[in-house]
Amino acid sequence: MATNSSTAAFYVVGLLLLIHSGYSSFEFHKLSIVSHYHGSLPIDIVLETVIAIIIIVIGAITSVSNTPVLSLKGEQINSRSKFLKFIEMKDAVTVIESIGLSDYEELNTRVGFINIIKKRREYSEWLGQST
Amino acid sequence: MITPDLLLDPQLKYWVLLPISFVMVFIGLLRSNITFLLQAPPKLEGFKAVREKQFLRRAASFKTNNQVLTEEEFEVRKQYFIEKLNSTDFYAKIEDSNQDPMSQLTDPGMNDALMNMAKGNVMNFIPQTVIMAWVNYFFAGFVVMKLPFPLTDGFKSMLQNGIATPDLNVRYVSSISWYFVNLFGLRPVYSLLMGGSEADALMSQQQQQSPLPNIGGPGGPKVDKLFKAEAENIQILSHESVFEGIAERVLESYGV
Amino acid sequence: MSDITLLKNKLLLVASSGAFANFSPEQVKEYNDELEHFLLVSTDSLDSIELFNLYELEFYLALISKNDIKAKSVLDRLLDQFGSNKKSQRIKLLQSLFLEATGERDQATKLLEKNPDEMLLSRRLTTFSRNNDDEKDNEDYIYNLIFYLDLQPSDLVTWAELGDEYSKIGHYDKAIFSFKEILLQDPYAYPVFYKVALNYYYNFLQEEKNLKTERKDKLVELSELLINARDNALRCIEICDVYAKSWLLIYIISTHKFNEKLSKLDSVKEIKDYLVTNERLRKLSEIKISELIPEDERANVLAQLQLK
Repeated sequence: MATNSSTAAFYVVGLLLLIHSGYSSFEFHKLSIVSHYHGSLPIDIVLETVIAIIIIVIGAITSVSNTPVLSLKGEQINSRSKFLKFIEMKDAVTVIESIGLSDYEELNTRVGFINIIKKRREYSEWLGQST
Repeated sequence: MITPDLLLDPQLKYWVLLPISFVMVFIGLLRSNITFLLQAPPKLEGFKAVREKQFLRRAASFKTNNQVLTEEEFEVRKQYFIEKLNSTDFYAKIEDSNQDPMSQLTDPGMNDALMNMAKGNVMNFIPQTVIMAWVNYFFAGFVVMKLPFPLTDGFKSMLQNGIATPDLNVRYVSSISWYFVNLFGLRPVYSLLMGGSEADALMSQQQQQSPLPNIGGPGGPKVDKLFKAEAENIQILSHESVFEGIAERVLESYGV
Repeated sequence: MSDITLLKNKLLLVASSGAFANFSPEQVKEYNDELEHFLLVSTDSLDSIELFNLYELEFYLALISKNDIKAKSVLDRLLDQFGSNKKSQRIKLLQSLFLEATGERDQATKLLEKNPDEMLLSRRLTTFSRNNDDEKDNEDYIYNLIFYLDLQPSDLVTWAELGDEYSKIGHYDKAIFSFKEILLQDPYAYPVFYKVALNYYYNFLQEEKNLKTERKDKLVELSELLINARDNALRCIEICDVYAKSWLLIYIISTHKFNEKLSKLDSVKEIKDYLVTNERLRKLSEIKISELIPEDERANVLAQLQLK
């Protein structure tokens, strides 16, 4: 969860700076209309805006990361690659293989052809054994 | 050069700008709901038509993916496909070649498709025309707002439609132009209001389910032409197996 | 990412892949409880597609665990929320399953054969010709599957079912044909490559058992089966190199006794190539197996590869 909290920190700081610079610029324009001042925006406001945007962008980039998956047995599995997904098929299939499934699982399970009677019998046999 | 500002009545905002936007959003929502109601439920295709399409797909995938076969398997299947594609075994229905072309127009399937297209078009055009007429009638020649940023003169025709003042600063927007901006810019608003992501997911699911070609439908090619063309493609197919030298390839990739 | 989202993703994956069809009874029970708890807590956060899939999963699990009352109530809920136009083939399929499971086979048949255009239901109908007590008695079933495949030539799931049925009764060449049909439409389906390899291998074992002579042309014929098995297993590895079963098959092939007989046939080029690479493949597969399969599971996996 470390990435999440640092991302949040980046966003908060960046947004605060951005709002502050926006407010400063608004004040400046109000003042310049009242005092008939025709100069450009002070450099510190511009700088503040740029820095705020850079911080937000950094936050957005750090928020990109692969989410862990739960395997069929319920274990949490983290992807071998931290940020992006694999491109080559050879690597990409390892993710779903680690869950215990494959992308072609439906060809193996074939729910449409499920032998429901047999499955039910198996289950009741198991129940009879365990009790 | 300082041009004096055009003073805009602040009431314009409440009585012109916002009403146009609101009306467009509501009519857009209404339209999509009515279209949804008018939409005929997706009809199940006859199993014969599906069979024909699936066979064609099977032939096409043989054409592209035959590298998974060995040489003998390839030859057997090639003969099979050429024979079947040249016969009428898999046609959904066998048509007379000298059939009256006018009789197609009375085909019920054809009529349905045309009707659906017409409905969609009507629902697209009527509301837009009505709103545009409304804006033109009540707010013709209004300058409704001033953009907070400068623009080049190239935007003049886009933003000042319907006002005949060539020297006006480009930052002023006319009512009819505001209508157009809304027309093209409201799509994200609709999808936000209607939960678009789910609809998109449904849409893509439907598309995935049937990537089948449209055979014999309105505007679609005729089945015998398609089958013949596919047979010719398969006839000239050459074969290279993926198993050629596979052991060396795998060993090499592990550096053994 | 919270735990509840992870759980949701897992359950959705189980529902969409159909993994529950191969669950052991313990797993069925475990998932039943997990899903029930999950739906109780977070039904509101699901969109309608996810909800449908999870209800479907709940129905299957309830039906397998003989909880007919719950299965019925889930079915009613599905009809209530999604079956507004009464046309959904998926819901009808569930209804027929319920009827079949509760012993009302005739009614289920009636439901399934109402409309010949509803192919999903026709497909289910083919399973009614299956002998649920003796799996090897499947002549009628195979006949029906072929009939269905003539109507739906690119239904991959049915091809897979047909392949497995042929494999059960020892018609390995026909099983291979069916699996290759899947590969033609899905050329990266690596588990199917493994199945093809396995069937070639079984075919080889079958032929080897019947082998009486040591004549050269017979041996070459047999070696072709073995080479095909190895090549298909290698193709599976090439696409997914963590597929442990395939490595094991390669290992078994490369250490098979039959290879010694072949060493007399060095003059044939294919066989010579085969024997040369064999040694290298054996070493590689040994390394890979020790990486992928834990020590205590190895014997278990090996036993699965024996000819039934």
